[in-house]
Amino acid sequence: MEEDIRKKFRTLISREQPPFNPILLSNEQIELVNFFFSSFILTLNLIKKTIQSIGIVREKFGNSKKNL
Amino acid sequence: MVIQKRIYEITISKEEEIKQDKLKIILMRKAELINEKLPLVIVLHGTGADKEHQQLKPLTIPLVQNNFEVLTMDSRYHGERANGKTKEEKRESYMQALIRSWKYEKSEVRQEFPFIFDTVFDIMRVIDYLEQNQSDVIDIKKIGITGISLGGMHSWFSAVADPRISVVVPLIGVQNFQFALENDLWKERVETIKDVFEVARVDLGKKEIDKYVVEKVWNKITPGILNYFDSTSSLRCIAPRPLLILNGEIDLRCPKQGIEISYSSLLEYYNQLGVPDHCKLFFASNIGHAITDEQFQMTINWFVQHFQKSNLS
Repeated sequence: MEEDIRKKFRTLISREQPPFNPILLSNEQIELVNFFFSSFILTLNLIKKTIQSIGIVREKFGNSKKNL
Repeated sequence: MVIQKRIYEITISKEEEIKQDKLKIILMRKAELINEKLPLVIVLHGTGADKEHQQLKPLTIPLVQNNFEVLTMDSRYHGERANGKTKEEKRESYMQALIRSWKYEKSEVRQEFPFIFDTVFDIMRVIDYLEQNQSDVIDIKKIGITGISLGGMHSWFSAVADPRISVVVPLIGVQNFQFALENDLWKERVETIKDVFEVARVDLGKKEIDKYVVEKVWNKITPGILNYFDSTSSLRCIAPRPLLILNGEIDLRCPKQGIEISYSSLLEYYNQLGVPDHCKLFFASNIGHAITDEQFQMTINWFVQHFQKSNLS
């Protein structure tokens, strides 16, 4: 028992601890993060394509409006 | 008597913040014994004092006279390790460190323990240094430790943590934290570092510092001190090494009844180990948080008596 207390105490006061506490995630949490990340990339791509499409439409019909 | 004084600077840990990663130790001995291998006694100061404070003289001078090497050092946020020049600035630096420890959140790199625990780690590193660099002039198998008040607590916990310390005399430092909490006897102890309890009171939404606040603060800044590191359990880790506990009979910071509870089970344990004479408790009658000349003399005698034995290791 005494050795256990000593060990506990020495562990508590030890300054040789790793400088950062690693963040541990479960497999489910990792999957969730991946899902959100993929969705975010997909959304970005969708926005990009929409903007491109608007550009094409303006190019095609923007001038023709003026002609009208 | 001419005293030879040596000062060394020791790096504790490269991971410590700038002010606390280094500390100076002072080694003192009789000048005529300059090349002798001597037993060592570490002498530790109380709250608000430092390694050269007058309060240590009744211990350091007689120990040197009795052919010991004597080591003194500053505790965390005391003396040269405190920020600021004036006594008030240094005190404030200690209080701020205690408050940081209270406010620590797990996402931060690591928690400081400026009250007791970090200084105990420093003392262990100092002994490492002595082993590696002073073993030709210091008998590493004969290291004793004593201290006053906070220094008494440092002596107690250093001996718990480090078996290389072979003789221990905590002066007005040993107490029963759990007993004080349960019996409404914590006020005088809290008063010595009140700032952190006051901040905690506000954080916890309390009108005044009460048992709940005190319990929360102890558990945060000194985890385990109310159970497995309290005197009832942790003093046993010092056995069978010679341990003399000296306190004042009416010291409200270290209530007598609590110490007696811890001591009775401790003495039983020393008895089981066959060395009842290695454990002694003495209260100076009608004395509060102070040390009598008789107790200073008892401290010197305890070290002389036990370091004359050859079977200490």
